[in-house]
Order: sequence, then structure tokens, then C-alpha cells
Amino acid sequence: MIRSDDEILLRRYREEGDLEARGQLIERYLPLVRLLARRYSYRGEQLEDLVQIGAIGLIKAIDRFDLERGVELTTYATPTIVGEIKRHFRDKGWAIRVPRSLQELNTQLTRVLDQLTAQLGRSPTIPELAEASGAEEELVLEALEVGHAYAPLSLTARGGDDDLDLIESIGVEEHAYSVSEDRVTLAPGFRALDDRERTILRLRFFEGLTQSQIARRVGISQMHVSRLIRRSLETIRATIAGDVGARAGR
Amino acid sequence: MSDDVRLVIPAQQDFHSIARLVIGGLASRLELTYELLEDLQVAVDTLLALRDDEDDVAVEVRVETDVLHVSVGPFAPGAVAELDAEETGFGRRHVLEIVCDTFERDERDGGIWVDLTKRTTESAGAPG
Repeated sequence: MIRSDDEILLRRYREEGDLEARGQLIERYLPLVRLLARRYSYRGEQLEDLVQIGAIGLIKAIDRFDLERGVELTTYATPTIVGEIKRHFRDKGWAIRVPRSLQELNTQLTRVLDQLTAQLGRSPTIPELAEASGAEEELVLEALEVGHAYAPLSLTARGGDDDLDLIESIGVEEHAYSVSEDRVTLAPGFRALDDRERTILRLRFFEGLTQSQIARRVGISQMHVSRLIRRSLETIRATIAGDVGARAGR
Repeated sequence: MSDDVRLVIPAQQDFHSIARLVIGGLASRLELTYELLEDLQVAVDTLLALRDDEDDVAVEVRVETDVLHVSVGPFAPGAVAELDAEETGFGRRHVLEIVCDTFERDERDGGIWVDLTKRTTESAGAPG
């Protein structure tokens, strides 16, 4: 039997189109997504990325759940969430072939970097990262470099058949302020970025926060902040180059 | 023994990661923090992205007490013009202003070079 409070929310969403009810269901079952994602986090992927991917499976499950089936939402959602994560491993992940050992070291460094930053009260050096991870400095540098070949799913990746992106689906605003009128968003190339990327660039390049401060503010790892900054700058450069090329071609 | 390094690579984008690794190696030797290394790599990436051609591009690094000097070039004058202009939005100039302590262009050896400095202390990287 489906939980009565789940049923109320599902009916509000289904019958009244209440997106807030849908958001509540998503938030309620995110711990399940995290639990399932953790099973796959040893494969060299960031847990938070897997949680985001699993959340897409959860949203699909909520959207497709048949109230008349008489099964728990968790029973229906679990294989959908796991399926989404497995599909990610088939389709996405590392943009270039990276040896498993380097992927694993990169994952380890993500954790170690945050731990050492908290412990030392400053960003660690490469020798400190090497010592804490038990790896040679050269390997640490290589693992950090290949980390930029990792392509985590964007939070604005489509979450289902509708046109809601994941942020909208979860119903959580990532930052407390609006960036819509900021000059950041008016700058060329910024429209190609998603909300989180814009937020991170704003914090780094207009508010002057360090990567570790941004990581704490946004709630992701410092390494992930670093990746997002680089990827966003590349996106902006590519967008501007495309615009210039298009104008030249006119 | 000198801590000066000069790296010459093809300007094609595929080779830019080599420059990042060399900067990383030097940062490791100088015991720079991860955040300082990231700033340096973003700075060098920002400049290398101005070149994606068949010719060579050089990255020179000179170490002084508490300061790293990095030069990237040569560039055609037009390629770095945007570094001179005051920006109203967000571009390479703004990125360099944040991730470096100073940057300036210099005409030498028949081309334009961009010279950056970065203090090797944790306070570096604060907005300027």
C-alpha cells in the first residue's frame, strides 16, 4: 500500500498540477537517492554528481507513478533511480579515456582537499595532498589534471519529458539572491551557463571569494568548484568565439 | 640552480594541458597551495586560449622570493587588444585581474607578450 501522505502529495501533483507537492516528494525521497548513489560512488565518480543523476530517476518515477498499482513509491522509484545511475556510467562520465587508478585518485583527492583545507585553515599544497593521499606528487598533478576531463551532469540537464530543469524540479533556489539583473548575466557568454555556474563565477570573479569559500557556500567540493569555473570560462570563450564568428559570417 | 622554466609548445589547444602540468610541477616544487595553482592555471589557460594555431607558443616562468613571474606569448597585436580595454562586463581582462596580482603586455621579440605576476602567499587571489 502507498503511504497516505505520499498519496496526498501525488494526487495534488497529478490532479491539480501542484508542483510544490512534487517538490516535496522529491525532497522526501532524496535520502533514498543518496543511499543508492553511494553504492556506485566507488567507481571514480563524485557522490554529489551521482545524487544529481539519481534525482533525475526519482523525478521520472514520481512523474510516471501509477497510483492505482497499489505499491509503495519507493518500490517503484528504486529501479528507476538505479537505472538512471547505471545509464550515466554507460553514456557519460569521463570525456576522455582515463585510467581507473587516476579516476580513483581524483576522487580521493576531492575528499582529501576538503579535509585538509578544513584542517589546515588554508588550501593545502601539492606535497601535502600527496602525503595525505599516499600518492607521488606527479601522480597527484596528473590526477588533478585529468579531473578536468570529467564531465559531471549539469543541474540543468533535462530531468524528464517535460521542460523543467532539475533545479526547478527540486524547487530549491541555489542562492539567496537573484542574479537576473546583475551585470554578470548581461555579459556576453553568460547566458550559455546554468544558474549554478553563473553563481560560482559571480562569487569568484565579482565577490572575490576563494574556491574553498565558494565550495562551503554552494555546498559542493572545492574540486568541483574548480572544475565548474574552468568549464564555465571555456563555455563563455566558446560562446563569444561563436558569436564573433557568426557576426563575421553575416 | 635556476628556477626559471621556458616551455615551448605548439599553440594548438591539445597541447595546452602540457603547460598546465608544467605549472603544476613548479607549484609543487615551490609548495604553492592548490588555490594558487588553480589561479595560475586559469591565468595561463586564459592566455593560451588566445592561440589555437600551427605555430609555437611559449610559457616562461621565473621565480623570485614570494612572487612568480609568468610570461606567455608571442601574440599578434589584435589577439590581446581586449586586455587593454576597460570592460563593462566580463572577459579575459577581468579574469586576469582576479587570478593574478598584476598583468601587462610587452612588445618584444617581434610579438606581444603578456607578463603576469602572482604572489606565492595564500592572500594572493583576493579581488584587486
